[in-house]
Amino acid sequence: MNIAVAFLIIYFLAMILIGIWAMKKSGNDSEDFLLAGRSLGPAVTALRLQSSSMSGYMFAGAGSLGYSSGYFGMWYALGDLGGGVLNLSIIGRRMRKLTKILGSISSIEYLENRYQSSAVRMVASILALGGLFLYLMSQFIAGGAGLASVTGISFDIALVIAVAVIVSYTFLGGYLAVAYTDFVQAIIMLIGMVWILIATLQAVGGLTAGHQQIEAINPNLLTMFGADLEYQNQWGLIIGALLIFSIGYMGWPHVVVSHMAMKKPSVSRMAGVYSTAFNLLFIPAPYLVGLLALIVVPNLAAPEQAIFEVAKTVLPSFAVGIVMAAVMAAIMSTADALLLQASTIASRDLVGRFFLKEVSENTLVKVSRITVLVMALGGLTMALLQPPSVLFLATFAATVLGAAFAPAYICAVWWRKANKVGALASMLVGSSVSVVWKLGDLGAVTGLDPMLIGIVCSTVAMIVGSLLTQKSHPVSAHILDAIDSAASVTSTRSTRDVKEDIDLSAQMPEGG
Amino acid sequence: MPQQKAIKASVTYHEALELAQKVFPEKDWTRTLEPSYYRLTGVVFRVSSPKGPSRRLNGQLIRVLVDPRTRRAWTSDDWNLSSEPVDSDLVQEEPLDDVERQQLVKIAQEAAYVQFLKHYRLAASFEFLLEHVQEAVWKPNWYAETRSHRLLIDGITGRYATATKPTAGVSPTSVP
Repeated sequence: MNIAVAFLIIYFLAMILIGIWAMKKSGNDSEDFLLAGRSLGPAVTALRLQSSSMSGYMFAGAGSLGYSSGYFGMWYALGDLGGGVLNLSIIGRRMRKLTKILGSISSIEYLENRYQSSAVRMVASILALGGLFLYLMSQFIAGGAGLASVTGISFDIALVIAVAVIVSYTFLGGYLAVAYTDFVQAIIMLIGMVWILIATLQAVGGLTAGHQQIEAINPNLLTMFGADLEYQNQWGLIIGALLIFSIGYMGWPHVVVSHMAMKKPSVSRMAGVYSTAFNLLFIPAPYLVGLLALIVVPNLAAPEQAIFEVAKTVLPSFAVGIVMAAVMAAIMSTADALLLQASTIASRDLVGRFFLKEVSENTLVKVSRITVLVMALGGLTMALLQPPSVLFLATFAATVLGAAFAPAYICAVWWRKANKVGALASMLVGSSVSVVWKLGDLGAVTGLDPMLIGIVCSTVAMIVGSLLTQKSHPVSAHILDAIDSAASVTSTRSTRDVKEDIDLSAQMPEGG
Repeated sequence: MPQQKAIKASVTYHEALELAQKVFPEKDWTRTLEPSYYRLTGVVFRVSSPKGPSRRLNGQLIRVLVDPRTRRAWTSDDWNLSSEPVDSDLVQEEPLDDVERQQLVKIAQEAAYVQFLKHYRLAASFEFLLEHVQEAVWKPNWYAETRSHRLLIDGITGRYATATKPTAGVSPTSVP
């Protein structure tokens, strides 16, 4: 066993021990879980948002993009840099308020409550499950590829181990989540990524020297238009690359759910600041390391291994273990969120809502467990038979989820006329167009990225569908009031440390 | 109607008065500070979890308060009810019909389920057995009005909410 693997095992053991210690420390008092709830502050909200969305893609997909397309990958990075703050500032505060007013607990249930339609919930659940499954597969493959690279075992065995670790973590997450939250994982990811970037820059003699060496290999890689300048003037594709992790981000059910857990709506402002700081440090690094990997580990057969191979070359063995822990932290925080979101959708939003009205908690938990296992085994089987690239899967899932849901989530809080017909049309049109565009490779023919065309069609469908059916499907007064309340800026009035609480308004005596 | 009891207030009249005068220093009060009670429904479940990581909670009670108006629910500690009954003029309880009652229990059950799952995730094996529904658990607040505004102070947390009055025209009083 090499030192890197030993460090990785120590990392996992430490996580489990801390989790068990924290659980025992909480004693037999039920208060610790009874008093949970909407309680996240800005730093935790921001880093939780980032760690759930920054996934194995950042280590495998982004590195591979840098390795094969050079600075073209920075279009994705640019969109991603603003993704967190856009998400928090466009829908964060309003969604937090509206979900509380409507009493929604899951992000899919929220769509049903806002658009007052069980069909919206049904369609959203199915689309979300499909998108989440694709994204989950990308995490499995990234985990397997990383483990295989660091340990030297075959990809198939590494994949099985990675899936087993992720599923176990999800099942036992309750133990671990007490002390080892997404917040901590985000910090570890950041340290790992910054460390490898610095070591890589040192290995190539600095950024300028690195650029000179890349120029000797292929000067096109230093432009933002691809290795063969194939993206030059292809603004339809470039805008799509910009949108995928910026606007598209707002359609990911497992990410927007973070807004609902904020302590108060105003948290989103500070969270935006933390989120941007995190992004600036974290996001460009994997693309850059991927590019510089051409110097450190040239002629890689599998570009998705670029960052892992660089880590093995430029870092001491123990540090490779720590970086690998960062990779697994990224993968597990995302995969865990994906699996739990999917299991919640299957149990609460589908089975509990549409199929079994009188369902016990045990049955719901069983449905959740079965969902996790089915998704894990399905993803594992598909990945073993013919593993697609992490880059393809992650961008495909992000495109479908973004095109299907971003307009629905944005209009829910910003457009009073958005109704259930518009929402249904938007989700169905956005998802179908983006899937057809991506699988049919119509981007190459038309010069329009699936994300761009998907989000445009989805938005048009929302607008047309809602405007044409205002009379037959008006938005109820109750929802309009709720949107207005969510839109209102919280009063800044405060008296010493006592703040005005807008939620308390509901308790005003009638006719007072 | 049986005597109604409210949760013990943590904010005294004098504390509420001090806060009211700070929020609206203009003092054009048209309605003096008075107690106001908001109706919640309390639902109590007993945890049945003979195995799994949540077994240490087997047999324990979980209390959930549901706001029948907004349909929000949250788990809580034991309701710390005051020993003194509430002035019957201030609380008017209309009994819940069966459908409403079932809906509130369902909302409470979901709230408890989500909290449980957040903590124990999928390793947990549990059921909630309905123990008791207390149709009205009165939450204490303090209420006052100025010429232009309404003010509600939370009797538990001391936070406050204001609302603009739709019409003015009542003569002010000198103190709340």
